[in-house]
Amino acid sequence: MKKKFVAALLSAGMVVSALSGCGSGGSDAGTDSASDTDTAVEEESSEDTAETTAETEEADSSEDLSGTLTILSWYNETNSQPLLDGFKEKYPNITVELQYSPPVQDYVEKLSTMLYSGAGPDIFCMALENREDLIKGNYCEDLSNESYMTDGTIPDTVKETYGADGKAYALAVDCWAGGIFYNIDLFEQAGITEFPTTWDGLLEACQKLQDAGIIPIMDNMQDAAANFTAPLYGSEVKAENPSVVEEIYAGEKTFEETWTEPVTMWHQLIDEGYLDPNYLGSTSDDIVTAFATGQTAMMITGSWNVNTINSINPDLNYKCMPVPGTEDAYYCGAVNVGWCINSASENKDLARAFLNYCASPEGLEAQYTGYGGFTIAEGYTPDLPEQISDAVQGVRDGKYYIPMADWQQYTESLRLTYIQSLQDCMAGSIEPSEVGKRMDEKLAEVRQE
Amino acid sequence: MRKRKLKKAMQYEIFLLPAFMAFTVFTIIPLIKTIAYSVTDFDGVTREYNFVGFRNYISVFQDEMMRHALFNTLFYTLCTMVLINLIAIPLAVLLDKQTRLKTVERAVFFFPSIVSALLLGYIWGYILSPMQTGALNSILANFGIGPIGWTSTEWGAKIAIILVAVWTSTGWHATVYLAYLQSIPGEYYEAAAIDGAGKWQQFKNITIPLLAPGLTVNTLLLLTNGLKVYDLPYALSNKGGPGYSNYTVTQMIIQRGLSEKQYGPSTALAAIFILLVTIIAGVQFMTMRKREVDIT
Repeated sequence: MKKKFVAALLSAGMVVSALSGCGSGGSDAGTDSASDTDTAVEEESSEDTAETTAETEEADSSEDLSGTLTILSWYNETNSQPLLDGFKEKYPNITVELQYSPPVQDYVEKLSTMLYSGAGPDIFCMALENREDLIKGNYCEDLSNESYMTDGTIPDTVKETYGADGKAYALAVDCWAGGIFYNIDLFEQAGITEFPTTWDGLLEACQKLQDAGIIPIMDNMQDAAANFTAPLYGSEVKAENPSVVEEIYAGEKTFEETWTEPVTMWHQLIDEGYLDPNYLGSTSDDIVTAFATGQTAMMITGSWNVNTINSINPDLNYKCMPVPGTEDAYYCGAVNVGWCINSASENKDLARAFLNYCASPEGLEAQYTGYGGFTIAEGYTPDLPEQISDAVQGVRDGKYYIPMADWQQYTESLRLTYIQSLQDCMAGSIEPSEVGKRMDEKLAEVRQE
Repeated sequence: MRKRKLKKAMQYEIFLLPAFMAFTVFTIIPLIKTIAYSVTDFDGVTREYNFVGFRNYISVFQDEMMRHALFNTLFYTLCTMVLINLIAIPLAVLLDKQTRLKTVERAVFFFPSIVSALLLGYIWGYILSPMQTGALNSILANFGIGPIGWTSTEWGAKIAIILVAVWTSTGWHATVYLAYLQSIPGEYYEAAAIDGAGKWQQFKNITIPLLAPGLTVNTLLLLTNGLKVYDLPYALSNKGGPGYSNYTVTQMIIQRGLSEKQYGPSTALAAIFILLVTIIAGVQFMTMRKREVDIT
């Protein structure tokens, strides 16, 4: 019965393929003429594409699709509810079984175990931390030919972040943005009327705050994505040489050569007494609470903390500014996690329907409502919170840097070494130059294995 | 006759089957697979892997992080084993006294061992927070002291972890000693008192020797639990920080294997560690058993 259904689906695919070929011929003679001279291989490839299109159209006929779709989500049940409700409304006969695993480490570990043991869900999330493994293990369907990837709905940055060899493996629709969150009232109290636009200006502002008896900055260096060194690397190194990471992987440059400058700049905050190494023992929640209650003038974090800050202190007057370098200023930020279809899934038609819904204007709105990421896909423009709007624009303009997006291989090993070394550097047990040196050693070690 | 004996034996053996099957599935097979993976370049992602000999074992000893994790684990085990035993024995003697509040006293000391170590780690993390709002720092602030970064340095975090572990587990181990104490006949103490032995002499010459089996059990438990510790240091020191200064062997195995997908070195470390734990526990058990025999 199942075989008959697949055969019928494929036949339908062929018919739709032929019809769509005729249709396009009418509108574009060039394409028509080219298709006349197609080789057998290309015909096969176009059949595949047509098959995908047919299945996508099949997926669109929401009434016909039924079954159970399993999802391992990075977002919890409450945050996922708007998306699930919207999907249920459009596809009433599809039951979604959503499992949640908290990011990052737990999620990555659970998913890899499920996939390796052949018990993977139909849909799962690709993040910077597991991108390499998922692509290397051929666990994801190629989404390059899906309509949302080809019609401009999804920006190229998503395909670059979650793709390889010209293929796109994940549908990401939003981003996060971050930088230095600063308390405008405390800045004014210290006599600072404008936020600093250069590194020296930031140091001066810290001094003024300290003179006014205000703790300038709190940071515990637990986050490899939102910290001072990443945007400084963007403005001081990456902006000068966009291919610097490729050169490191090719053995032409080293992490030590390129990371020492931004780490040394950040370390000035510790040397001058603006950033207390004692905060290494604090949690991120401690720091957010301290910022929200006016105990510190600045902290570095991402947009995910905006709601928390507002709930602790709705009257706090704050904004997010980029980390100023010597000439330019960069934000923290990245494309958020993307949805993938399991290449071994038996419910690919249902999974495609889900991803199509995620890329639709209603799906984008539902994801913004539930997950709070800033939509970068075409079709829905959210009202951004005033405090973070400049940062989101900065990310849209490409003025951000996140190292994990650049480290295409051995990402997790390098991320752990990077953040542990920064903590050691903050604690004073290693020099700034040793951070990059350790990363070089790590890269050599994992390559050997 | 032999057949009947075998049949009778099988009637008992069959009750062992579920436990044996569970032990095989959850312990024996993973153990064999661990040893098998430790001589390969298996990455947990692709299904192809190659035999690499003892390369992973060599890398374990070359890796500073792994050596540091091994030191942390042994240091934690030694400190908790000594401190908990030193406090739990006198505590058990005190709890053995027939006071009106003896049930409440026992419950108070036993309570910390009921709560999960992870949860206690987070609670103590709040108490020892370096922020002005941390519980301990807010008290000290009333005297014009601080704020102090209790867990912000390697040794600050190490000491905090050990002290919290001692606080958590002492009551539980004192309860084990209490059970052994209650099995010591009162006549021994009466006879000793008639012979003129003081309280200290009674404690030294009757209580301690007759607690030897309890010491064997507690030391073995503290040793094995200490060597596989993960949750408390992870929760109390911001995931083993600062840096990797408070990583334990278990955390290293999890990180290298599951996070970094270096299953080869990770399983090699696990195999070395299994061997080490077996040797340490075996030597400890045999030595203390011999001591028990000598005493009795």
